Amino acid sequence: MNDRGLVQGAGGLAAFLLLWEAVVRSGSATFDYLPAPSAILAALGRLAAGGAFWGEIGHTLLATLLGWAIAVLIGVVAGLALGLSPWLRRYSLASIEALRPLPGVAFAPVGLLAFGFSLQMELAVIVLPTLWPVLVNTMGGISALSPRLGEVARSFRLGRFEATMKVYAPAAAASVLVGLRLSMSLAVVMAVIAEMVGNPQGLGYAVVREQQALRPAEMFGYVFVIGLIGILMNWALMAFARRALPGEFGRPLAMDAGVR
Amino acid sequence: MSAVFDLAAVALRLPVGGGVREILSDVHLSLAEGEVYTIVGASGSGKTSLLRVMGGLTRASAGSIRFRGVPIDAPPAGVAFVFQDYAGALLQWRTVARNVALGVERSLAKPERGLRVAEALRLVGLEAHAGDFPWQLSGGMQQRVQLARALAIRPSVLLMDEPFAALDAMTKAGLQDELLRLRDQTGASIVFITHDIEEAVYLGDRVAVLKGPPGTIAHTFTIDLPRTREQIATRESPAFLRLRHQVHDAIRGRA
Amino acid sequence: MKRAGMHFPPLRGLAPLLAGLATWQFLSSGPAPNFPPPAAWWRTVAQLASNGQLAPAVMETLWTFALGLALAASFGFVAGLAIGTVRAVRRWSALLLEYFRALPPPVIVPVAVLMLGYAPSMKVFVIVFASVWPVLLNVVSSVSRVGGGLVDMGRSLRLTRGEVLFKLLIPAVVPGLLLGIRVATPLAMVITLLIEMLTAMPGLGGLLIAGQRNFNSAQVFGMLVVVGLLGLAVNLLVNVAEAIVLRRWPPRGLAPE
Repeated sequence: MNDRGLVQGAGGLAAFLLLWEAVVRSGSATFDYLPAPSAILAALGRLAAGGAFWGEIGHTLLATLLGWAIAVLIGVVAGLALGLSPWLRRYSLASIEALRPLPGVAFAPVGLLAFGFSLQMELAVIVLPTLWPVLVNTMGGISALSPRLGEVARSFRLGRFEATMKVYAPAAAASVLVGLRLSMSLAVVMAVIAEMVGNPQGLGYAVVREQQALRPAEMFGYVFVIGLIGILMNWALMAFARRALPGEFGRPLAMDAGVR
Repeated sequence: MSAVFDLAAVALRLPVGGGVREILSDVHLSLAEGEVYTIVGASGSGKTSLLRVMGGLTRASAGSIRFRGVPIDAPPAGVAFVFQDYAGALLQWRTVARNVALGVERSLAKPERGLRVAEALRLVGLEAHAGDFPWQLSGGMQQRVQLARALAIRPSVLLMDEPFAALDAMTKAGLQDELLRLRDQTGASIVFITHDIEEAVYLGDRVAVLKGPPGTIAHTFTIDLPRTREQIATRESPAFLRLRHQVHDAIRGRA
Repeated sequence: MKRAGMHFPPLRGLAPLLAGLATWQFLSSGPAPNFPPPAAWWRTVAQLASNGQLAPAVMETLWTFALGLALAASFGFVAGLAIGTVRAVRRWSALLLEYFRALPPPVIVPVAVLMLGYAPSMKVFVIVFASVWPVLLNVVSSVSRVGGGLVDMGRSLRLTRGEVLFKLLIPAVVPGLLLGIRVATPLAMVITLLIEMLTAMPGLGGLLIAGQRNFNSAQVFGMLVVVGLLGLAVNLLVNVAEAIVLRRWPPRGLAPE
């Protein structure tokens, strides 16, 4: 988004907030529990001053990052293996396609039964749905590789492992990154779900708690923070990718063209 | 005189669609030390397949292929490929220097490797760009990076598949002369595929005309031009024009 | 060229899944309270079906999901067209839409519960609010990508505004719309289940959470399979519908773009 676009976008955002504030102030709102943006801001201030708030953020971040990391590890390894071996693909793709539509939220009761109220329960909910985008995109990235790269690897007599690490994996990096970003936002969502339905810790639980205690300003405050976290994690991931593989991600890419 | 490459009665059959297609049939070829052997032919005649078979990327269906007397069934050591699509053949996420190092990373220790890479870059005149990425360079420069990568392993044979086809005329001319100079400096043999008859005659010590499908070597011309070639003078010389005419007829005549 | 969704990978790929289930069944000879064997799942589900609990729950979930998805698709399509065609609106709303897109959909549920109460309309509202974004944003992106050229072409052919809209713009945007619907479908399903689980309103989600509260793990796993099969069936349906609608469009690559 160029500078002018940013200004216009910010302007639209500001207009929206002002309209919201005006509607609530004037009393023409039909909802009992719709707080004004100013009230939400005040609530956020109060929360930030208290200690529990930061602990909740930390907990959700921890669950998200841990679950995401596990999913990425499994997904990349499995994706590489499946992408490189047509035999493996033939004998496992149908199972993957059958498991993929399973909604992650349906794993919450399983996680609760197995692990009770704990971080592990959250991880049980996060890992499986989060691993699919990584696996599918890694596999797709490898399959879509130009056969030329394979020929280059063979003509220089690189071993299988060497070729995978030096040629195939980096070449698929752009696709893998798309998978990583998708799974990152998914991990945030699943962590929140796990906290809403199961483990009474973290931001997801906080939203439900404030809702049940009829504290709308605080609730909206938490909602805002959750949205912010998703954006921040995505941004951090892109920054890391640019550092790690400057050759691939340093140049201007149409990476943000995809819409989810 | 021992040939670097010796192909006898080589045939290649590949499963295509429902049946089998004969790509190459009864190919005999002998490559001498330090010679530039160009192969011309129409599209679909099997030029690329012949190169891949020589380089061990595709296994022949029949016949024998010997590299320095030893039969091959995989890419042999001492043979390097240069592909036409440089963008796809280079590792775009690695710097030029690390690209050139790809073939020697495993076999040489760091200090030696650095020297070898520097030497290869010097041969193609790209020392100043060692730290750049391929996508920052022009097409001609990227192709030189590929050349440097091939030269870094000190090959005795360079197999080149229409390497200059995607480049503009001036860059092409410059690289042709650079290739001849490299051959003189390193003594490597070069098998060079092209659809450009003039390029084939200009570069070659021998020109083979491949006709097909199924591909077979219909004629081999020995180029009796002076060893030192010059873009304008050589291409205007009567001998060059005569040879060009002959190759052209060989491709066209008797379908 | 393969049509999207019309193929399922070779069935022998089900081997690992079936092998896993068989092993599980085989290993669970003794009582294992938290991980009952697949046979127990089947028994529990059959029981729920026979005492009349399963069918209504499936219908309830399916109906709410379908209604929510249909409304989200319609609204997203119209709003997307409107926002996409007016450049100023698109620019000004860009940041706002980005934020809403990034907002994890489950978070909307407690907000809606607080503001709208425990009514079926709340359920549908939340599903629509959460699922509209992929549709809306895909349509906006589609319009901004192809709109300009088409509008110019329409003007050069002296078509009226209505003709440009219905003959050029809408057909051009349909693939993007369908892509958005494809993304929105699993999302709508998840939200439907989530609401049912959070509020104990009738539906499959309710049965799932009931199983957990009663420590009936066979029910939990059995319902998991039912939900999975439902998700599979819905996905298949959407793919088939998309293939039919997109018969006349040029085939897409295999990966959504």
